Amino acid sequence: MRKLWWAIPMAFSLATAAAAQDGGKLAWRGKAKDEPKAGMADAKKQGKAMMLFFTSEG
Amino acid sequence: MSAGAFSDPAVMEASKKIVCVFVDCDWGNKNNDLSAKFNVRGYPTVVFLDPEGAEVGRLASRTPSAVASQIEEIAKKHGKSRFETFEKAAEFAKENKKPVLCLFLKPGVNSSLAAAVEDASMKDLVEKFVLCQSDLGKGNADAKAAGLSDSALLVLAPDGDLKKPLLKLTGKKELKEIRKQLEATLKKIEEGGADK
Repeated sequence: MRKLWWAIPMAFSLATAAAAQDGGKLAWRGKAKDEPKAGMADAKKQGKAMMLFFTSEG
Repeated sequence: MSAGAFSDPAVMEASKKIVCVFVDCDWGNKNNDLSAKFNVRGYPTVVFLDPEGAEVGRLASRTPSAVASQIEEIAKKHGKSRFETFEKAAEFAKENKKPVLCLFLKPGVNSSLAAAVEDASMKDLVEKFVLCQSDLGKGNADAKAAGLSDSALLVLAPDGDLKKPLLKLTGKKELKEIRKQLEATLKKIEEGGADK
């Protein structure tokens, strides 16, 4: 039972960290099969600045 | 990074003015070229770039309001303001509350208007506008809408109409004269005295 008390904050901490790294609800380019460089090329075409979010989901 | 910052409504709204690029590095197994280029030493790292891909800043704060403010500032300061169609220029102009400078050019003809826009001494002034530059021709719908058949420089309010420019310059003009007229029109817009 004692082990369970450690597990709860640990799980919460991991979930928070994961949420911080998944990019939330923003419309990201570069996810799934979309390459980051394709998003960067589109930003150039559109004349828009970019926000690169370097993360490690894995 | 605050877990909720990228789901905050203000951040989501501000993010529409830039392109958000997710770079999954998979703990050093992916996108190593980008990580090296921008000297990423830990995760998460947020880097802001101008449209040409040059770094212009890093996330300064993790609170949602500060993140939204920084995105707004970066978009306004570094968003490139040069487009080929009025529709795209106008959309960008509205978002960034900048007037539009439309330059229509006859292909193969030297224009003092084009030379003025590209002149280094005009950079500070031209940067205050969203620039829309296109060649005159049969397929140029913007030139048709503006009723133009010769090279021209138009100034429009951020939500202006091509048919009703605030300033219309045609023919050969001196650089000084173009600057003077652009400054006067800009001042009028900033003071809110310009009709759309």
